[in-house]
Amino acid sequence: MNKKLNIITNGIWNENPTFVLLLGMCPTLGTTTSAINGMGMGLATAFVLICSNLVISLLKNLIPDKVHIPAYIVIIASFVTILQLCMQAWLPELNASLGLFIPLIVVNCIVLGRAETFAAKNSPFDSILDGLGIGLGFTLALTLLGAVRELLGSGRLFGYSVFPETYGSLIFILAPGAFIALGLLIAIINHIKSNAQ
Amino acid sequence: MKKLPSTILPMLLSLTCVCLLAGTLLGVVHYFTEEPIAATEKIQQEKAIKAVLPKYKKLETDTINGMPRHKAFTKSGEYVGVAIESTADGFGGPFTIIVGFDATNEICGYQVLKHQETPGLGSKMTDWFVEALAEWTPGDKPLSVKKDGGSVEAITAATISSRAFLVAVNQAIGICIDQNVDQTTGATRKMKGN
Amino acid sequence: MSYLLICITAIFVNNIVLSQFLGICPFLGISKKMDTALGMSAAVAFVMVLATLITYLLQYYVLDPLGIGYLQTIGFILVIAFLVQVVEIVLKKTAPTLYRALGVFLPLITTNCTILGVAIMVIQKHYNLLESVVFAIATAIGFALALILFAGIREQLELSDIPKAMKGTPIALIAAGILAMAFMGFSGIV
Repeated sequence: MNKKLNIITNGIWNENPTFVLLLGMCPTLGTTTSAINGMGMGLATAFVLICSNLVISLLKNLIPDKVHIPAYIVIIASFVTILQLCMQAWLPELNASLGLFIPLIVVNCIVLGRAETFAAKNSPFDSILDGLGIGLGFTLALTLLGAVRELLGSGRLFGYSVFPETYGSLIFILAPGAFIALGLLIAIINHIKSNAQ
Repeated sequence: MKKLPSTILPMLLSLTCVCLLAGTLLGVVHYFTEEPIAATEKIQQEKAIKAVLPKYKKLETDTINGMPRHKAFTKSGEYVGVAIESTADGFGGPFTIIVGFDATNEICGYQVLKHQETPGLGSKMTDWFVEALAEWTPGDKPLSVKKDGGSVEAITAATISSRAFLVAVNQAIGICIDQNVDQTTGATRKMKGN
Repeated sequence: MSYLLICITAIFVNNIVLSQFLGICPFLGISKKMDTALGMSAAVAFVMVLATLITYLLQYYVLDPLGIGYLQTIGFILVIAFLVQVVEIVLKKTAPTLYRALGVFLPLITTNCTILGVAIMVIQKHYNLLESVVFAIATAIGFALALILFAGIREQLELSDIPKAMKGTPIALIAAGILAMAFMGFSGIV
């Protein structure tokens, strides 16, 4: 039991895709203009990650080594398209604000990376847990970054006003702020980790 | 079960199967989401039209120069105005707005249907131009930003988005006015019929 | 004129890396040394132009007539993966020097989101074929510009005295932020 739990917590803290593995930087920076957008992107990626991990783990013995990359990409792209169609149908606002980054989940290194390093070697159930853990870790990181940028940039948090917008510094919502906010967050986490040791 | 070997036959077979499965699955999902997607788009469109022409009950839709035009009537058939969908290239790609004109061809509101403008800058277009457009009357010159010698205050630090927005508005104005000229077969802008 | 505008916009104003946030992984991963940055830029440029051309034709001559636009993502990524393989094989056989220079970067390009991103963007923006190719070339130049500038900055960063927690990625991200700020200045030119 503890081992299963470890798979999940591993993805959230020890191997957090954003803060530790530094994977999937494009959606991390591109979609975190607000906490809600960050969370939406994180959950969308988590969905694809869990599904593709499961299917790849089930099919791993049926796919010869030499063609595993194209086969995995097709599987991942199918789930991304399913997600895209469902979001167009039922979550049009979120779909519009995430825009190009939804189809680009296909080339998110996290998803292919987990398929290669975890799902291709482990049981289907463990692969789901790994997808869940990494997905949650990604979601948390994106929500955190989105919240920081939204708060500093527009004085709001999850859409609720915390302090007047005129005191916010718009730069945090724009491109440069994304880089700087993420850089500072990683620095803080590095600091916490080195203190804990 | 043992892993399949990397020889031609298993490789071909497994890739073909994966592709076929993926294709079928997507076909099925597409079949089930096609209607909800169309319905969602329609609801959003109607919401936007409702926001600019609150009194309408019935719509007559046609397309002029590739731009959908929704003529709005009350339940009794009285003409209340027209809503025109207009698309222009903004800073982050094409965006679509819907501009409402009342029965005297004055702009009575607009809604942004979809856009990809920079959050915090260009995205302010959703409510930035309300006053500027309310001041416009049918006899006025085309709208343009102050930087281009016009009367409209551009969104701070988002001149490209502002210009593109006004391009879209002017397209809508063009459609609205031209249409009325055609209807009366003269140069007046009086509404005819209805 | 409109081609010039597409170029300036794609290279400076809407720089693919610094304002659109695509291709951040190679931007952070392969920018530690100037020569690898150059190699990666060349490989990306090569594949990007070819991929945009082929995906454009795929969209307008296969997907749209058949009414299967929903297979766009899967079709495009397959074309790109296939193309990368073909380019690798062809280069290996015909131009071994070029292959030695670009070879190691080619496999990484399949998962480089700039390629898929540009392929989808030209469809979304309703560009025609020539505009699409111009856009792809300009975007590749923009990518190279950002990568090479940043490689220059990082070579200097290596020599600087930086607080321990900030070493490596954090300081690189902050430097990228400042570079992005500089690029924001270009938005005044169009």
